[in-house]
Amino acid sequence: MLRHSAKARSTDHPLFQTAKTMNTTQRFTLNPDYKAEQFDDEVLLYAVSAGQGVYLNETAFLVWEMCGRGLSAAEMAAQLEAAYPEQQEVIGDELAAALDSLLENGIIHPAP
Amino acid sequence: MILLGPATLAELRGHERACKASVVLGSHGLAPPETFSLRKALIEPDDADRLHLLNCGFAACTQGRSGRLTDLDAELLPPETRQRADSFLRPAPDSSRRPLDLRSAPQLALLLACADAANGPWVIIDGNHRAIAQQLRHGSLAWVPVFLCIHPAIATWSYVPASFRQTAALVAEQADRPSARQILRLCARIEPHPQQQRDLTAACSGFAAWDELIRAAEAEDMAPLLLRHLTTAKISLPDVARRTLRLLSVHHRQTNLILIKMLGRVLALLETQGIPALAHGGAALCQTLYPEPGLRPLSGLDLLLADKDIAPACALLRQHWFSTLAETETSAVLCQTADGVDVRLRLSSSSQDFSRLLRNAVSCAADGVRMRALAADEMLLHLCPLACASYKLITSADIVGLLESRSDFFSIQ
Repeated sequence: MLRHSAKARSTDHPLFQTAKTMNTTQRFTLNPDYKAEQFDDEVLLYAVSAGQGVYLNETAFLVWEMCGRGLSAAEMAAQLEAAYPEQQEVIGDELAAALDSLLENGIIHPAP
Repeated sequence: MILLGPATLAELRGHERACKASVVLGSHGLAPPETFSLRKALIEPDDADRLHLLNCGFAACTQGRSGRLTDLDAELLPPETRQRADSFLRPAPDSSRRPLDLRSAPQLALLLACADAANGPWVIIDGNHRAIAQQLRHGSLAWVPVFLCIHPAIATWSYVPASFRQTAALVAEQADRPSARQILRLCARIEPHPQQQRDLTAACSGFAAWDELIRAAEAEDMAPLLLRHLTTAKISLPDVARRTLRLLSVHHRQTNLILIKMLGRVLALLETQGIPALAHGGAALCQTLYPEPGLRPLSGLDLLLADKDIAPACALLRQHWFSTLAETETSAVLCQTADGVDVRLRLSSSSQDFSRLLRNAVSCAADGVRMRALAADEMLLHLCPLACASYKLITSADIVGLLESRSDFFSIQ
């Protein structure tokens, strides 16, 4: 159920480190330019002003939604672990990768 | 090439006589007339690079002597050819003739020879001077009526330029493959149709040029409709192609939403000053004809106003967000940026009775603001000249959609 189709990352990747070592109480704000468009099998976030779109897999979309609800990284991890208990071992990495991707693309920003 | 229907040899002979044709079917070493099949047709914009002049002096007026009409160079015209073309472009002052426009002169239809009627290449047997004049004056032979004389061995005729033969060989090689253009044409309608869906499925079977198809679709404002029809027909396409089409569709949908919102603001503003406006063009079609506004990409907003209202409307809009790019007594183009999107607003006065258009208008809403748009029949009359001036395939979808929406009114054959 919980899958991330982004390229496999080694743990020494700087972006991975960014999220992995992030303060777990960190919260995020959504970039309001990006609007979500849902298709049968994926979600596209698109900002017409930037002319940029990013496809999200299921995990990244859940994370984006939770960012929008003002959850911290730790709260997100807890919600994901509760929803997918059988995948607890990978949830931390999946969450870090999703946050990295969203931060990297300017779709979310760390809340002040 | 739009194939209209068969023609008879007697009809062609009558036409040759009326045009005083110097090269007629069967002359100058052409195969016997009865070995040709004959059709009437209309040249399309995309046919331009496959139209050739006769290789008997005319080809020398083209760059590299290619004979292609698109390579025509006015500087290379010999004096007698120039004089003849000029006689069409600039009739003598005492003459009652108007400058040539072959699009509205079926009595001057060109005679074209080819082996493949739909895909060309085509060589102009008779009417080379007229074609040169049309190309020089209008930049294209799009929508010019023609007689097609079809013969499988036409490439062996000695008056055919070398580039014709090369193109013919290329077309023959690709004949069995469905082209991006064929697929796009099948999608140039709003609502799917069972036969169209079957044809589309067949055309996409084994199709590989998805990049080319998507580029062509975007250039023709057809990307959202292409995705709609491919999805409805449950046609499987590569992930990259599917995602690119989705991205383009979302881009157009979000852009349109911003433009329609701006249209609502403009209409509300004009209303405050009692200036009636009629939407036409893409935005009006989006709101009145298309089931989902994002299916019809917009290049701007178009409003018809009464003559007297053009200047006050411009002044009002300048006070509220817009700057003027161009303004005359009868039209204006204004612009501004909204949510990162460049908005072009084109105001024009109607050549017809504006109050009548207003009375017959269709009412709908633009972002919650009452909007009046040209009625379907008026919209058709409005679209057809626009389509001739700057044609995109989406205009075909507009026209088909309008005709189908008023099947009670229009007799479609």
